[in-house]
Amino acid sequence: MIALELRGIVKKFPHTTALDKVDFDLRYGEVHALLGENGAGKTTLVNVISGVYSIDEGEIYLDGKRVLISSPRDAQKMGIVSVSQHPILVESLTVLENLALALERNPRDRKFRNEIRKVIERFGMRVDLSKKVWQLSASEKARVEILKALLRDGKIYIFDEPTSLVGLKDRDMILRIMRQLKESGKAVLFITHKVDEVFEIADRVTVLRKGKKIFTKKVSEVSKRELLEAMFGRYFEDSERKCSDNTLRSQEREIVLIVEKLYVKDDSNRLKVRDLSFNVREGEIVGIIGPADSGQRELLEAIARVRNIESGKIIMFGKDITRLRSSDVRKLGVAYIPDDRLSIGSALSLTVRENLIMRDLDIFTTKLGFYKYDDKHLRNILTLVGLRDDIVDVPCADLSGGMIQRVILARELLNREIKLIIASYPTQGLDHETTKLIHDMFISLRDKGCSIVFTSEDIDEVLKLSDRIMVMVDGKVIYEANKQDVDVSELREMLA
Amino acid sequence: MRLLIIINGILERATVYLLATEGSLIVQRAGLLNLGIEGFFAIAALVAYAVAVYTGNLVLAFIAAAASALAFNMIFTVLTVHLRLNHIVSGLAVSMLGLGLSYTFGVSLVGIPLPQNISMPMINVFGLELDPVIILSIVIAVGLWYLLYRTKLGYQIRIVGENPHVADRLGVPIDKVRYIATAIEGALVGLGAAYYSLVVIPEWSTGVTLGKGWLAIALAMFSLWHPIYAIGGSYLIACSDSLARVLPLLGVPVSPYLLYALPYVLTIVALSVVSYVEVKKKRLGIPTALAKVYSREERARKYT
Amino acid sequence: MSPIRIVVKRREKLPRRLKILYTIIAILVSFLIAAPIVAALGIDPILFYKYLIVGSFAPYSFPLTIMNLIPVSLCCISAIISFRAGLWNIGQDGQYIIGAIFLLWIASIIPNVPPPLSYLLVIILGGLAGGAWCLICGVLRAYTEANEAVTTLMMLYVASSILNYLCYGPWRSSVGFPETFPLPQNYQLPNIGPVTSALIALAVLTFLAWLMIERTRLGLEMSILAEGTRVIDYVGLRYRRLICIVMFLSGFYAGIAGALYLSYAAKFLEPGFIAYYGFSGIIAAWLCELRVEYSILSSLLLAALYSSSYTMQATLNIPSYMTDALEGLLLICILLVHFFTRYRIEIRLINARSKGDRK
Repeated sequence: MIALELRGIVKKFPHTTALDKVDFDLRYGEVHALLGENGAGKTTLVNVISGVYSIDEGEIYLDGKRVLISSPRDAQKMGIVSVSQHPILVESLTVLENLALALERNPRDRKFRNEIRKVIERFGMRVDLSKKVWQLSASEKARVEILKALLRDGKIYIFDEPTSLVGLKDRDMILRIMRQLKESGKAVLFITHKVDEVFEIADRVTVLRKGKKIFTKKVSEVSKRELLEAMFGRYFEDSERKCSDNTLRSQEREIVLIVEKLYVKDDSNRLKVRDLSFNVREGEIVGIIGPADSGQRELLEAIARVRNIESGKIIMFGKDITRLRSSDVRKLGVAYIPDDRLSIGSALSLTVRENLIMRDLDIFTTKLGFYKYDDKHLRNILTLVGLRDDIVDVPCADLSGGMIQRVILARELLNREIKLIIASYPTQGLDHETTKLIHDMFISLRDKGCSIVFTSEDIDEVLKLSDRIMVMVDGKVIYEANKQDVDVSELREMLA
Repeated sequence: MRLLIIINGILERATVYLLATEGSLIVQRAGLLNLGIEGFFAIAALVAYAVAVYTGNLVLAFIAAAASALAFNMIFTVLTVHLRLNHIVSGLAVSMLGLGLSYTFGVSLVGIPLPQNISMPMINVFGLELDPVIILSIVIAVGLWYLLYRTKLGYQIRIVGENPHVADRLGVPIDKVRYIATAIEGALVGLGAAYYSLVVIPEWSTGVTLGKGWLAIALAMFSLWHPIYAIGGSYLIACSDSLARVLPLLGVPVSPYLLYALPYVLTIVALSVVSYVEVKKKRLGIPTALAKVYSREERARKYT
Repeated sequence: MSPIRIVVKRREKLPRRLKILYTIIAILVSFLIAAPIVAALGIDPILFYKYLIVGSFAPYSFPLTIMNLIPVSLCCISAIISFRAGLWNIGQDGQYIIGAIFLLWIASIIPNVPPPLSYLLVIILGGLAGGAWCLICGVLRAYTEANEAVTTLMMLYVASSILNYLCYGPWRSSVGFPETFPLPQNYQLPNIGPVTSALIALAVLTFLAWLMIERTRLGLEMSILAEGTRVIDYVGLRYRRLICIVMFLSGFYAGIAGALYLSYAAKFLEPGFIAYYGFSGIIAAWLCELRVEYSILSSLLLAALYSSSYTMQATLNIPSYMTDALEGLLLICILLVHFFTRYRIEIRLINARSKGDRK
């Protein structure tokens, strides 16, 4: 029986169409996988179903009746329960208070607490109800998010990339929970970009690409290759392209960056980087990998001088930059690509033009402070990163995440001569094309002698790009090796 | 005897501040910075006075004041909650409209005294003659504490002010919660304003309410948006307020005109000190989304 | 669930012509709403409208409008500077008072400065004092995070207490009225024909503000400031210093407004010197969408309201406070325009049809 049906759904954002006439249906008693690469429109579709976005065209039917889902509250009342990739929790409250708030219950109600305990036992989870949410680790938060969903008596359960931020044990638990829900007759929508997980759990699969639906098929009747081709289209072919090797020459090159006994704290005053030291040589790509939130972000922020350093030293091109600010470091030829494109990397309400010049005001203004930039240059660098040049007057807020990352790339890499790139999760959440652009730009700059330090959560990306690999756990480097010496299986074990 | 009069003056003024502060506190907890408070304070003060003059019924005057402030405050709520407009400018607009209307229509009441038979029934507490509104204001403060920290609505109000995005996704009816908060604000500020024009002053003249409403906003801030701390804050400001009237009486050679600035200066200092301490602590659980417009589908909005 | 849902949708950018049309409609609507209020005061609304126009743009009243235009316009720029940077200086009236007080004080000490120089002093002294007054709130905001919207408002009352103190106390020079001694002759800006020469100062100051906001690095840095601390750190700006600069500049313009008004119009101080031009300036700033190049135009409307309120009080006996109410209404209508140019409202009907009978 069909639980939810979408017909001709269109969702537009200024300058982009996120969903283009998408049809989709979800049945009771099935796990339906929604597959697509980043930026394909999966999350937009989830947001439409869960009432976060209102649609521009199309119809939604719930149990055969036409409905209008106008808020998340609406969706919840209709029995649509979603598990978000980034847990929706209030940091300052305890787990119990969060659950009470979501379910509109009283946290002091003993009956309510018993209900929670029952669900915890039934699904075999480990959750401490009395802890405040900000004290929890990423996978603990994910567990609370799932617990919150299970406490609701829903008809339709949406899991938005639930396995992306958790460890192996939790992954198995999540897949088991989905199976249990399906067996009790619920409709389960499973959003993922990992093809293997589709075969592991789903009954049917729908593939989205660039906001369009490619097909819906039974999982038993589809091959892995078919799915990959549907996801990536013509780009699938060159995704296996090999990168040039650089490992032979880096040993003799000069050291450009020295990090010495660095200690860095995060925004909540917790020590995130402890006694960390490493060097980077000219023309070398260093990839840093490790479990999420192990201090990688704070480390790169400290090097880029957007975060205070507790103690330790950073020397760049022979100059002590420990006390400098990011604009000083920029003048030395340093590009910094932050992980948060929207709230750090770009000034959203300013135009693309203003975003392009804002990090290089020393070049683009005279001594008295008047502008002296050349619009031709700005338009030129936009075309170099594959954007139309007529977007210079558009506010950044109107662009998609991928386009914003391209604007950041143009600004950081093409405005001036770059000798060192610091990139924090540069390809996270991006589509295949933009990812490829970033990789190509990195490699061509590296070949010109530029050094690169970057972090990633994708082990294949790190292996593909890096000349040297560092594993960071709990604020410390626990493993460091040149690319040719890396034992891949050992590395995977370390990260599991 | 003179001391008693001074204490009574402080109590009465503190009650006005406390009621207005509790009102402002609850909307700020819900993430709204309502500068319109000055406007509906003036409206309510006028309505209370007019109703008292024409009907001679004190209770009716208080009720009418609360109701009119509540209704007037809805302009602000519609502008900011539904139309997603800038809180500060919307508040100023409501203030200007309220001040303008109350002064315009108040002209005919200038110089008309309250009917003789109107007076507050007194309650004897430990030998002190107190009027019930003073006690009521303390009860309301405690009641609001209970509301904020012990009830479902209280949790919802706090979360809406702290992180509306999360609140929305959790299914908290943001608009409804904000409407309730502004309604409570309107009613409480209305009571305070009525008490001000009927008991504290008691007369109507143009400009009597100047700055009282805006002072309440600052008071709520430096009381850390806590209903119980707000009692202390209100009494502190009331003391400094009455200093302006007491010192010249005692023969201290200070210009009363300069002393009128004292509550404002004290408020600025207190607000700065408290904010500074808060910055150091980086505390959670305060309305961090204060004055930020929430729009579900949008990323960034700067000016409006 | 009700079958009718109102959905608010963001709209694509509206052409400028339509925006201007909407704004004009908003102004007219706010005047229309005023009609019943005026009627409630027992005055014929038609007369009210007549004096609204005659009181501000007739040959005899237009100089009065121009006289009000200068402080409104300068306060408008003051508001634009701080709002653009995401800072909410709404205490322009306080800075206005302080600018005038400081000018009068210094001028009384050195009354014999020769004219061209003394005119320059009017602007510089007023600006410095207003800027310093506003800088207090800027420093508090930068170093203690005290909300600047609240502190600037509080400082307005402090400034007005100081004004009252001076007028009733040490500077009082008339027995009958709380008035101070007049500004020395050398500091009084002369008229050129029927209008004051302060208009030239206004034109120059407006151009300088436009240059700063639209054509310089500081203007861009101000806009980035409004984006939040994380972007500021990324760009590498000095966050606290920038807040102080913006607040100083904002207060600078409001302070000049006070000093100029004292110099070409008021001549001496009295408690009524505070005319709440600052609030009108904020409305004007909102009306011109924070664009300096249109600030004079939008300020002209607000200034006209001022002068017609004098006329109406004199002829129709409408309390001048009615203008405050009208200004409030006007601002609400302008805010509505902001909403409707950004969003459109869709009313959607959903019938609980089952899917068999659709089409």
